[in-house]
Amino acid sequence: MHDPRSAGRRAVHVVTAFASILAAFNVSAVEPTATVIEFYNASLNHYFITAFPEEAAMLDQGAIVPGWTRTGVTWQAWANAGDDPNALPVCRFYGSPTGPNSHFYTADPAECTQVKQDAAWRFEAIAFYIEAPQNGNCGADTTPVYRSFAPGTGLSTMNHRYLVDMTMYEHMAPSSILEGVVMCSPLSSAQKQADAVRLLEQATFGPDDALVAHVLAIGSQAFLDEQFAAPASIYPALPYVPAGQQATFCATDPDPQCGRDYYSLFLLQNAFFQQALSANDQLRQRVAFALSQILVTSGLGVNLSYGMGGYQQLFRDNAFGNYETILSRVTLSPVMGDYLNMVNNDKPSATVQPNENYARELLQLFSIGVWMLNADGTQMRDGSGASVPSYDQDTIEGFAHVLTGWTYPPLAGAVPRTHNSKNYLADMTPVDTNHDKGPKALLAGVVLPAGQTIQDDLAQAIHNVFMHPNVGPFVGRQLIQKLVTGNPTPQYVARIAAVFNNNGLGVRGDIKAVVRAMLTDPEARGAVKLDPGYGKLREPVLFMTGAARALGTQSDGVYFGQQSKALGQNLFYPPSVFNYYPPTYLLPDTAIVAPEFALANSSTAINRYNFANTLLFGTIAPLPTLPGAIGTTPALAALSALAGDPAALLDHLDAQLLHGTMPSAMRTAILTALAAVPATDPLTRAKTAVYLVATSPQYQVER
Amino acid sequence: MKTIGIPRRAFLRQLGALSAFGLASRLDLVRFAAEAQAQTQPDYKALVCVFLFGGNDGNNTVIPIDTAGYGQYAGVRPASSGINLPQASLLPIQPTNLGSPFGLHPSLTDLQTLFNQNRMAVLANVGTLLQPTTQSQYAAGLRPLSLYSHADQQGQWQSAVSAAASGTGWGGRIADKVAPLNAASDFPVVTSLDGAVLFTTGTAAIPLSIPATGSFALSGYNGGAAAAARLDAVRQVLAQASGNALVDGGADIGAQALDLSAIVNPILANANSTIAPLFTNLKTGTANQLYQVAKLIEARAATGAMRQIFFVQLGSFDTHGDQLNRQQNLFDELSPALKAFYDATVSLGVASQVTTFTLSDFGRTLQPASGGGTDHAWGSHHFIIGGAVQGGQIYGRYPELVLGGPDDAEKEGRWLPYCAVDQYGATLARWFGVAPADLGTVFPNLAMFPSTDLGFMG
Repeated sequence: MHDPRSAGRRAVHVVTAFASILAAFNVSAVEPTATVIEFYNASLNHYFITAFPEEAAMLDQGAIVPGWTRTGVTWQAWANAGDDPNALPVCRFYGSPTGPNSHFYTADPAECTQVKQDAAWRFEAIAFYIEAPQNGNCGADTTPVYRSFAPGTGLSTMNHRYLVDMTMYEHMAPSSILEGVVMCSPLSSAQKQADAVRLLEQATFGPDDALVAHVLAIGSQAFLDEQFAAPASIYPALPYVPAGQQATFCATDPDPQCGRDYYSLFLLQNAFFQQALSANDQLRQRVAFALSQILVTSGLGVNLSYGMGGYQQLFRDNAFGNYETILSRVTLSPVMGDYLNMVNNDKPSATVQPNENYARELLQLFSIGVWMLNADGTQMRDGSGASVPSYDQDTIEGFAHVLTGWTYPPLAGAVPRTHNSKNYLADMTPVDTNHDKGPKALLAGVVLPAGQTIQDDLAQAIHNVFMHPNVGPFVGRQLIQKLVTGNPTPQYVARIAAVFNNNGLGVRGDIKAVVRAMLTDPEARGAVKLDPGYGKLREPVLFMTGAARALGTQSDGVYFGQQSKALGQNLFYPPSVFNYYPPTYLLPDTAIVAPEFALANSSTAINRYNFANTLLFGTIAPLPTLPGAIGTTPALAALSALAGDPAALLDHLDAQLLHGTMPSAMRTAILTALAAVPATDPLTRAKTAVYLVATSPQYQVER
Repeated sequence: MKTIGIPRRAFLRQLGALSAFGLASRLDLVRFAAEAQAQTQPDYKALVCVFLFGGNDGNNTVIPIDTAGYGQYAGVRPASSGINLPQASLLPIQPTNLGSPFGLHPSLTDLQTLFNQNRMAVLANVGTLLQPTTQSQYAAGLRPLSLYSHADQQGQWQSAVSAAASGTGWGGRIADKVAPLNAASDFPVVTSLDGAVLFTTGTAAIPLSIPATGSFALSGYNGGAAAAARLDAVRQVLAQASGNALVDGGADIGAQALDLSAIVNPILANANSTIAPLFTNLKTGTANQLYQVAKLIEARAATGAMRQIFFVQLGSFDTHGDQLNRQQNLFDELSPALKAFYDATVSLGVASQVTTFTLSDFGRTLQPASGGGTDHAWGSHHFIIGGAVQGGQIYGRYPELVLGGPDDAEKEGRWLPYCAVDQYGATLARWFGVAPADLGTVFPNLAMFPSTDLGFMG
């Protein structure tokens, strides 16, 4: 009896000499000639694939062989021998009268020969032609086809499934064995473009046509290398102003907008959006933005622009550095010290205990979270199935004692005191006499001995946190959520956490390696994303920059800062250290983690429409009180030039904004709306089309 | 009849995969039943939740002012601690059900007035609980998940589920039960001034979210065939199923927003609201939110709502430092806004049909923390306001203000709650019209507690 499970294992590991020879002649650019279509039969709980159009039509009709419906999964292959010189014939088998009630496909010639001799299987046909993996990897211009095997309860219920969407494949795990890569599906040029667009959505503040062409020309790895090498954008150096003295200070300051400019984060918001729209270090800025939403401070607590500018710059400077460095820098930041009360936190007295605020959030939000995690980010369970807390109140108090004795850096010329006045110009400074000298119990049973210096206590405590096994899955998962998808599979989290734990050179916490692994992971890449829970709602900032960059918008940033508030993500003013939205938020009535949906409601939904309306149909004039203001202006000439042919206009917007996923009913609805605009007014047609695509839920959700 | 408020896919979730015909028939039945009920029960009721985000320090909110009680307080929070409220500054209240007097924080003048008019009750030492809990049970590990964590405790206060993460809140679950009363208009039961919070999340309908200030109007559609066609396309795109749950979820929210904006924005934009003068001099965030709530209550005939639950929020109660100034500023905002809102309900003739109540993450340590603040704790004191409230009393049981004393779960004055948020919510839900038989569904852990009615609603 043939065992498809063992066949599967062989197919993953066997490398054919034939294919490796042919791989040397990798000539592509020809479009794939066959589409493999997946069908599902609910009563059998079986999947079936075919690339024969007549067979697909027959199943669609349901008359001869009833019960099969399309799943929506399709992928590309070759129809004929010779369409691609590297492609191999795919043997299609069906169970013999004594074999499985199921089909089996293989591109491995040796396996084909072997299965042909197996009495349990009947050879049916060459199903299509396709390239085979080399050591489990697929070459350029192809995407892996993964095979899962559902053993069922016996011959009549066993079934294989062949998928190109890594997320869907991994979601087969509960009932199936994941057998690995078995074929390499050729990518059409539209699919390659879709993947380039998606990479730019994950790695930048939004694709534009030039960047898409650039990624297609140099490839995603080379693009990431460029981005890692790009120097950091710099927030403007804003002057020191005394805290809490706006009225007296601004009374004599030459800037007539002194309060707005120095006692609010207005200028920082503008700089953020200007640089997000136009600077080259896109990936660095995206990672910095993600980190700033994990290690959160807020203008609601620290509203001096010179201070918050320095705090935000910290993430840009360390975006590709080490997470332990980030933890140390954040801990000693006077902005964080002020925000979470670590500054001037003194050793205990008869009536006052060390402040627990920073100690608690350092553990809960910035590093390990409240529950012990498995390596894949799921919660660890004890013998009775209960979650396991990662620390307790005593741990918090231990860290609170470690974190005593730091004050603001002294102002130039001022006499240093044990509690210096508020100053964000440099890291906090130690005051050993205010530091608790007792022993401190930390994580994992570590106890810092009594009598250490304030600096040693701090460095060892940060290292204690950094080495906790939760950090990789806890931080890695949130970075995935903020850059790629809100609902990553545990397998994806595990792959990224492993890179966090060791970048391949024995280094723990290498953010650059983590980001590269995240963005090159099969769950991020790939031409088609069909998993029903894949993706994320574009958070307001990214929704706005995505639309603006696609339109080549010139802006001083003011409009985007204002609108970030209306859309529920007032930039640099999150409501608390818990950020604008929690990483655990569930799409209501589902089990799908969708953090950004915490900001989606009827009020912000209306404001998203209104944002697009003003950007496209309105005039956003320069603010008279802002020197150098230019307002906000999208460049619509190119789209207007396309609008003479509404279908071509929609093709362009579909590829640029929706990875080619625009449903036909949506296209029809938009074409009808465009037909109501006179052909003599192509600009309004272009605006109408962009408005309808950009406000559609298909665009609001990035997937 | 126009269908608003309950989106398409939510219906499908609620009713299962019925055919279009079956769905319509079912809806008609629901409406018919509701209309019949409305004729026999024409009362309007609203619950207004005011969530104090960050964890309000109850120990500086309601303080005993008899010599012994204040002595305990000042023993732990002496003037040198930086967070002491002097005895003479406290606003005295004499609960009619207790022998000894208490004092409110000096900024709560308006709430003192409401208490003395018997329009406000205090619920003392309420918190998240799995069951009635003793100190020894706590020491043995019996406690809500992630006690002392903001996010978790906010979630448990809002869900009344402390043994696991919950996908719904008790406001949303009450709304699910009373939604048939609104079926005549399909207006959503829940309106949030703070977006999609757990308290407002149920399973039947998406809450309405409105801004605290500013327009709720869809702009860009002021006439013309092209604009009309564009709006038509917007609606068609929203109506298409996508195969992706996130896209469908976004479409649900968008479709609801378009429908409700047309009805609600004129109400919010009404410059002739009769209650406007009550809020004229209060431009704070809390007052703005409560003014929006009052305008929707004023327009209840237009919306057709028979039951409404509102969620209002005020943040920054996480006073780890500089507590005296910060809590004073917050109460200076909160107290007049609550009074103006109560006065608005009087003006609208619905004072005994609207009940306002506070929730918060947790209380704070009685023991001061370095920096003039306090740390995260557990049980705390809350306010319930309205004409139907049996006011002028302190319900629950005020704790002994002793570090490591009989009410302390730890050693810094983290009060072991005397009663549970489940009981607090159930008392409100019963008044609101949730059938006693349904209370166990809305508050799944209610049976763990001896009383399901704390008495403050009579």
